[in-house]
Amino acid sequence: MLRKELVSNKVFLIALPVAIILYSVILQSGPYVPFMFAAFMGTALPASSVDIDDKSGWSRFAVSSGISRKTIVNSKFLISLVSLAICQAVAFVGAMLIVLIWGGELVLEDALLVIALAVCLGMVMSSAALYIGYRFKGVAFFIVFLILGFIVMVILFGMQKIVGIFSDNMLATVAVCGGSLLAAALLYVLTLRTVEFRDF
Amino acid sequence: MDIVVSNSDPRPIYEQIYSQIRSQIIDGRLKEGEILPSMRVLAKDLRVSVITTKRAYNDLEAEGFITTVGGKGCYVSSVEPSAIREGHLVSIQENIRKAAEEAKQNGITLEELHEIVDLMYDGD
Amino acid sequence: MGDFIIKGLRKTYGDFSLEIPELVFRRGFVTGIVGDNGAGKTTLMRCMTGAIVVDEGVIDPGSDLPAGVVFDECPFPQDLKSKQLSSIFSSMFDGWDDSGFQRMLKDFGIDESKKVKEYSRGMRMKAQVAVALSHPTGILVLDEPTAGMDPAAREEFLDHVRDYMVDESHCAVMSSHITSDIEKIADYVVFLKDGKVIISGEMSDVIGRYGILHAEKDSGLRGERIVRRRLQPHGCDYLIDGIGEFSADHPDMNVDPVTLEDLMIIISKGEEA
Repeated sequence: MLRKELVSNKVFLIALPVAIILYSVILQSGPYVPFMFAAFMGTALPASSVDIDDKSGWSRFAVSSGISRKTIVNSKFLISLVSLAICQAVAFVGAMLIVLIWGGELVLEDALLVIALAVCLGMVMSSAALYIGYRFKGVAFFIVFLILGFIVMVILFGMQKIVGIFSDNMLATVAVCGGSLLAAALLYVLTLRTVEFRDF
Repeated sequence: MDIVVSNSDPRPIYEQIYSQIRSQIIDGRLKEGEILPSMRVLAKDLRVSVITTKRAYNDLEAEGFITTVGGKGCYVSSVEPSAIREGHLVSIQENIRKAAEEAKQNGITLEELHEIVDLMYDGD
Repeated sequence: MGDFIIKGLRKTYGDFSLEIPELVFRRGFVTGIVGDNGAGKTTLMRCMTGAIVVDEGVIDPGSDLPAGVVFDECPFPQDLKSKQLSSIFSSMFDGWDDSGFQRMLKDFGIDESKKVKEYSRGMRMKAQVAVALSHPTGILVLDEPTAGMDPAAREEFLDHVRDYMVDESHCAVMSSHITSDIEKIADYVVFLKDGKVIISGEMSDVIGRYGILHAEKDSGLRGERIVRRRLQPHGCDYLIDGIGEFSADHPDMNVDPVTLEDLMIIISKGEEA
């Protein structure tokens, strides 16, 4: 089933990296922005895929053909991780470009910190998007994306400050990351349960 | 094996199949030991229900015209000359029974019936 | 391997409820499901494949193999070409026969350079059939598969179903508005109305058993065998259960044999007599 996700989301997997690079370079808010932005953008894929599959009848086809609901959910979560990973890798390239074009510094420690936060944030957002997408049909995609977008934009404007806060506070970093991963895991379990009783 | 089924024929489809195979066996067009298509393949080829071909084959087997082996294939049984004749007599008797019924129900006398039989036998 | 058995099924959506105490789809045979829009055909088929979770009831598919499905709307990703479809399905289904699939697409005239969104209506259905026939399945579930097809394409489609049924371990269930298709292909037939099974039985029995009596408007006929009636502009049609016996009792009345379409119309448009 992962094959299907990879093949049918090809466009996304190409468009997102391009968008990330363009946006990062244009925004010129510093080399840490791309990572956060990438976390947000990476969520677009899972958020839209549930709705697309519902509307095309693909998910109904898969369930009818004997694919277990658990497999379907797993493949969606897997593609979210793939999307997240690709976007973060691209963000790294974007960050390098920003440093090259506009100067500034990319401190490795800070970068790793930001990546860790971005990945955790991305995982929570993707899991939430999938859960909401499956729980509340159709409407979810746009609403989720708008809300998350708003939140992330707010974060991005305070990027430098955030890096400052977290780089000095190991405990805060671990707490946020750990909490996010836990939340993501919880959302995964909730999604599995929701899908077991859902009509396709 | 040529079989033609028709919706405009008043007889049920299974009967059409049954009688066509039967007559082909009796007059030798279908030879002893010849393998017949399975009832499912026949249903597919004739574009009729499997239930129909199943019934036709069941009837043929019950009367000894065909034999099924292991539920998969069936072939034409050996039909002795006397059995062939017997088959014809049975069939003729049935036809005459129907004619006699119809005659009685509609006030046609036995003499009139005899006349018709003579005419039919000598006619062609 | 056994028959596909449904027991105590209930699925409610708002004010529509599909309720089937018992229904059996016999393995080795094709069952046609007839009924008008809203009768519950699609809901039933979705319950059968597990796409819909039932409120109550037990569904025993009688086979461990998955179902092959053909829907009204082609569910395949629109931007893909046949090779990409191949790669998706080969990873999805056990025992996927790719050379068979490609060969079928070619026979159907589906060009490998075409994307799904460029397929004609007939091609979309054929593509689904090709997929359903390219991996081991226990049952073929077909929901309005021939809607919008011309007669030649429909006959071709039915031939594929007949091919599938040569294997006696296979089972097929097909719903359609095109009653002539159902008459041609189905061994058994089930009539649904408002979520309930009205008639169920062997196709030839059902067709052979019922009759239509065209009578005068105010004839007000009643009787054990008169099960439904439908008022017409210049008369009244009655559905007779037991055409032979009724004709014997009423030799003066002209009862016509019934087609599946006649039955469908008088069931959906008529009323109980």
